[in-house]
Amino acid sequence: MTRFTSSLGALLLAAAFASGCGLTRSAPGVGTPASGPALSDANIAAIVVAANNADILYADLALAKSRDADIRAFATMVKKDHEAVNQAAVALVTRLKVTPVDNEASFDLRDDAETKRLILRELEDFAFDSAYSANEVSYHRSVLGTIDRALIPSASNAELKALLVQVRPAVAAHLEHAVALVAKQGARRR
Amino acid sequence: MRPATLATLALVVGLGGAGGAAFAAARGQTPQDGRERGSGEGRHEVRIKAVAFNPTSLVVQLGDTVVWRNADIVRHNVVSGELFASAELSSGETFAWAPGDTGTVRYRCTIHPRMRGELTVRLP
Repeated sequence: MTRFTSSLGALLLAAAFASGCGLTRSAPGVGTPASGPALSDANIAAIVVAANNADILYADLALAKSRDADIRAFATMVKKDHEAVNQAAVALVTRLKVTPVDNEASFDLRDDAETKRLILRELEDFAFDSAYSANEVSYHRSVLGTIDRALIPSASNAELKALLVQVRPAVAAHLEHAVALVAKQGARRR
Repeated sequence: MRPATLATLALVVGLGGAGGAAFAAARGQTPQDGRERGSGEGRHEVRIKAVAFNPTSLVVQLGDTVVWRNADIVRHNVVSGELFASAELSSGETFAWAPGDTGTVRYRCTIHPRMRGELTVRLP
């Protein structure tokens, strides 16, 4: 794959990641009570783990590739947070004797994450930093929507629902931080 | 992490979710500015929840102890320049600090840089 290092290339890629389309398939079809098949607690557990693992994957890439202090600090933060959430989620489902069951949404999350990882891996310097931060905005927006529209409404077990409610502010904080990162990258370009 | 200075007494308590010992928060009247105030020899809790310190502003008195409790699902820390720096607190863990001087102490979570809080330490 061609290495994108030019500003124009970076701009195009960042826009593609920000829109969540173009280079990747559209947002995963997460079942909502109104639209798709209902999600079981086992499905929800699989989605939570897949979502966390996706952002950990992106963070690992950022820590391996970016030399920008803000990007690295952000990646360190999201990696710590998603690992903590995964730990809490796994502990909970283990205690509840719920085995995560993969579903279309969790498969989509994994596939999307791998596709994006392969694209990001080919980028360098500012192109990578721009695309990574744009992707973080897109990813966290999508996850927040999924939590609000699908996971919390669908969760049957009260503790699982409470965990999702607890996770939400962290995802929202990541999104806010990612938006600020994108703005900084935009200023850097000028 | 920097150690506490001689001017302050740092009490680091990790309770690992056990709930902690009961404490009596000796609070005075709530002032009109909405900040909580202590009356000396009191313990005040700052709850860390939803990626925020609650309350964000706290007025305490010399002799009081402030206890930060992580009630969040993710880890946080509590750092204020050279005054104090907690370890990373997992859910349920606490960090306690007793100011040794009056003044305003600003602190933050270095993991989530947008999380900020402030203590105002006054004489009893």
